[in-house]
Amino acid sequence: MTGNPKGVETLLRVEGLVLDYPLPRQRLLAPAPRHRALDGVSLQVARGESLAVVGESGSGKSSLARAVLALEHPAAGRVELMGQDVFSLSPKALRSLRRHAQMVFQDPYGSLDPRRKVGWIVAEPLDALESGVDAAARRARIAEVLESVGLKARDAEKFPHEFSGGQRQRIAIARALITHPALIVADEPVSALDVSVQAQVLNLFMDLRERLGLGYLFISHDLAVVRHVADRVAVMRLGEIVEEGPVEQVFGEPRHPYTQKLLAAVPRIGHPRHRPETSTS
Amino acid sequence: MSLLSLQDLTVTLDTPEGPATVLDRVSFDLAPGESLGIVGESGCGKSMTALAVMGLLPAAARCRGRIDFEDQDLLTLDERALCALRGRRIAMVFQEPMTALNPVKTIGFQVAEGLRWHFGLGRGEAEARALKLLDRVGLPQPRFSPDLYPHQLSGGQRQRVVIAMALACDPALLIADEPTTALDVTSQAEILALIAEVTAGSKMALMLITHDLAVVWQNTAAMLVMYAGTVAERGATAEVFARMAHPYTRGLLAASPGALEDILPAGRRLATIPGQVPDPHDRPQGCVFAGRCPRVADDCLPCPPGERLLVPGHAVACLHPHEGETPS
Ligand SMILES: Nc1ncnc2c1ncn2[C@@H]1O[C@H](COP(=O)(O)OP(=O)(O)OP(=O)(O)O)[C@@H](O)[C@H]1O
Ligand SMILES: Nc1ncnc2c1ncn2[C@@H]1O[C@H](COP(=O)(O)OP(=O)(O)OP(=O)(O)O)[C@@H](O)[C@H]1O
Ligand SMILES: [Mg+2]
Ligand SMILES: [Mg+2]
Repeated sequence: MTGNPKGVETLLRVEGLVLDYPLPRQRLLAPAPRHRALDGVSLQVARGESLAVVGESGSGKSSLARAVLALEHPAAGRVELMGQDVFSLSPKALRSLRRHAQMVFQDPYGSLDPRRKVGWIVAEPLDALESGVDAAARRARIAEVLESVGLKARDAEKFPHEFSGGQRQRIAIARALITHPALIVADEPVSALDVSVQAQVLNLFMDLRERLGLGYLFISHDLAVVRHVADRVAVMRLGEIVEEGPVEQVFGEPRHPYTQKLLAAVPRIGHPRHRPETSTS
Repeated sequence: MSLLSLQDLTVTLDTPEGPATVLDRVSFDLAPGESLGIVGESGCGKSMTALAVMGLLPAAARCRGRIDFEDQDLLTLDERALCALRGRRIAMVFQEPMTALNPVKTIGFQVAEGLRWHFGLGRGEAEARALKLLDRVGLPQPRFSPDLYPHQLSGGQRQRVVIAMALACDPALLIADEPTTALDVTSQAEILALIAEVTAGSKMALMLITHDLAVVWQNTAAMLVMYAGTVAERGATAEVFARMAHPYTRGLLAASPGALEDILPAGRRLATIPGQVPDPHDRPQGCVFAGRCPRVADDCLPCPPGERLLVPGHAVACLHPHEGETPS
């Protein structure tokens, strides 16, 4: 089984997180300027809860996701996963904590090793954590998880380049699910998917939440998607959370002008068009 | 007069499990300055169509049919002739920005590269133009130094760099394969407006591939709905939306979270089209959508339905299309 530590109700607690990136020097001897990507971010995700983070491009969403899994080193602030401070753990302890928190990345192509077969890619987190899984059980886990995201068991024998963009994102999701984590940090997990598969994957996320009590930190720029999967939503702008609350409240009565602008920008069928003239083809 | 014309383009990939037909007799025309949206489920062949026009299909691909662009059949051109067209007359924005970006070259170098290669500009002049292009796509100085590397940018910022590269040489055809899926809605609206502005202003034709019906609605004059490597429905965008005739097109609409936005706040379950796109290795005889279609009848199975015209400018490949208006 999964062996989740029992009794931990808060899966993720982030407090006052600050993250700076160095930028190229403008002149050789000038100090390198820095860009503050996260500027005091605090949030929490409870077991079985799904928190969405929305915000414009460059607002720091991916940086937050990476920092939460200790893939970036912040200038200040704390991140607790399952009650443990991730920045004070030894590399080994961090690795074993990661079984409980898996990440689905924004760029499905960049996150899959092109030289490995899909079965290997999907099983990698499992192999890294549970050395004693026997070959038959391992094959069965791979088949099960591929089927749960709408792929076929025999796709395990193929390479990533043999799949379309959306199919590759499903591989990335299967890989995150294979260790039965308690928290999934998903960075734009469905933006590369077409609507029908997107609906399948979102429904899958919701099913897993009901069945296994999974919690999600769900990063998305698609407000319609957020509305379907999230309980609470945090709106990010320039590295800060400007508004947070239950989805119905934030979308129903947005208080911050930026949230209002975001909601107004959703493309809708029936709205005025950029290219209304008809064509001959 | 058309700029781009595909005639019965069929693409077969040789795979270890045997040949897979990923495009099956796809035809369409695109006139200079016109815009065409292509929608369809994952794996239906949208990117393959784009790659075929770019001459970038995988080595295992075999093509039949014709792709005429500016009066040349692209399928007969050699690699050198294609290189002269690519990035110059036809430019493409890829689905995943990192496939188009070189991780070890700066963004300034990459935006300038096409100008140096196709127009023979000197380094200084090309880089000065690159700064203007970066500014135009929303990456102004000094915040977005040309000395940044792709990994120092967010997903959306990378896609803006790719768009700057595509616009650099002022191509006649811009192919955008899911150009805004990595962008938030405000940037998406800005980028699409930018693409609409530059394409309309310079008579650049646009082939816009997306899975978002609302994006097609807002940004294209004509559209194709693809399913399993074939064209299911086509026509003027407003016409197709007014009467979605193919059951597949209606399924796509029902599954769009955006379309349900106001009706389904807490329902939490989206409609899906049951079943999956058939595997390109064993496509069924007859209508490829029959296995998932709510309107399937006996006559759908023996042979694939040909395309028929509903009204001028709106055609559907279905024997039992919806007759009435699209429910809203
Ligand atoms: N390694 C890096 N070096 C320098 N700056 C960086 C680096 N990574 C990100 N940035 C900058 O930090 C900011 C936040 O980036 P991040 O990737 O977190 O944005 P995001 O909200 O995920 O945006 P998107 O929706 O476009 O993916 C951006 O302005 C980006 O340019
Ligand atoms: N190199 C390859 N070898 C074998 N099959 C491939 C290869 N590349 C793509 N395919 C298959 O070709 C079909 C069409 O793929 P394509 O990339 O055109 O889909 P798409 O419509 O762009 O989908 P998406 O919306 O997911 O990007 C898919 O079934 C895919 O699995
Ligand atoms: Mg991001
Ligand atoms: Mg594609």
